[in-house]
Amino acid sequence: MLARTPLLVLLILFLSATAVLAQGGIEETVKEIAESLNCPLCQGLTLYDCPLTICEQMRGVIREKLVAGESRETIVQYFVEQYGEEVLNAPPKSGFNLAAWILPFVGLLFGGAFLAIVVASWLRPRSSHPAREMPAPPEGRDPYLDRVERELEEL
Amino acid sequence: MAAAEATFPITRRRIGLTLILAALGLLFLLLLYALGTRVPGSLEGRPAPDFTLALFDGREISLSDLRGQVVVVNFWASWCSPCRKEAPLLEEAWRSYGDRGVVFLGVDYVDTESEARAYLRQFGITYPNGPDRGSLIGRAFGITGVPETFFIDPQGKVAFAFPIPIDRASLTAALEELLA
Repeated sequence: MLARTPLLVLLILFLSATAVLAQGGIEETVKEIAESLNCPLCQGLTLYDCPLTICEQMRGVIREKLVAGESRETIVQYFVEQYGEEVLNAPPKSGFNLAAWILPFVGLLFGGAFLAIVVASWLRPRSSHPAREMPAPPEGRDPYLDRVERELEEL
Repeated sequence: MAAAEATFPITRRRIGLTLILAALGLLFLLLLYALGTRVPGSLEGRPAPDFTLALFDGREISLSDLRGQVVVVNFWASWCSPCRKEAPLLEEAWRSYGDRGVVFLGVDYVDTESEARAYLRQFGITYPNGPDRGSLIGRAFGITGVPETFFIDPQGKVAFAFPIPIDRASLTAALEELLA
């Protein structure tokens, strides 16, 4: 009986360590999921950062569901069903929300095209746009330049 | 060569115009979308938005099925302190006015199920209650927080809207006026 005691202690220690490690893993996943979701009541805060009671409750739900063996996708889907798509930190890639993914690239494309046109117009020799050329200086002396020179001399 | 030079500025202008028109069109579409999803103003005097509430006890209730009755829709949440203050009052009113054909519906807004059920047990709430899945009902009623209470007349119109915690006097006065 006495010989078995160290083995028993070792077994208990091993099981405790496994439980602690598993808990740490779960907490890390809770953090990851909570960071991918928004607080349903405030603007710009994730479920992980928000100090509101509801967010604390929601983090508790994530923990419970992970312990119950639910997958990350199922948990996120549950929150979308409960609180709407706004709870997602990134909009889903479907329906109108697809615009949020496509529009930045469309913007880049349009911006790039606009820049290309502007740069092309800068690089084009001015002679191809006679209408835009500066008017030729009038013949003879410029009265304005004369006045500047006179005033400089007076100084 | 001269012909190509003459047409180039026109093509360039056309591209520029197309880009501007496309950007304006996009802005217009976004504006339409924003207007379509904007929060409605006060609902008083307007038809109440219809909804189906999946109750905590597994049943379902649609507001349209309650036409002909006075309906009190109360938005609440377990984390909301003012809701906790008005909860006993609402239950008491339900027990007094239920016999006179008034239906009370509790809509649990942005909450977690176990805490919501604990809240209902704590205050002994017996009228139908269910979660506002996806916050759709709250959005349709244009609520800005909890608690908010809406009194719907037998014709389905919102007679009174209380975007604030309700007190006994206001609750009784609204119900008596609707039952008169």
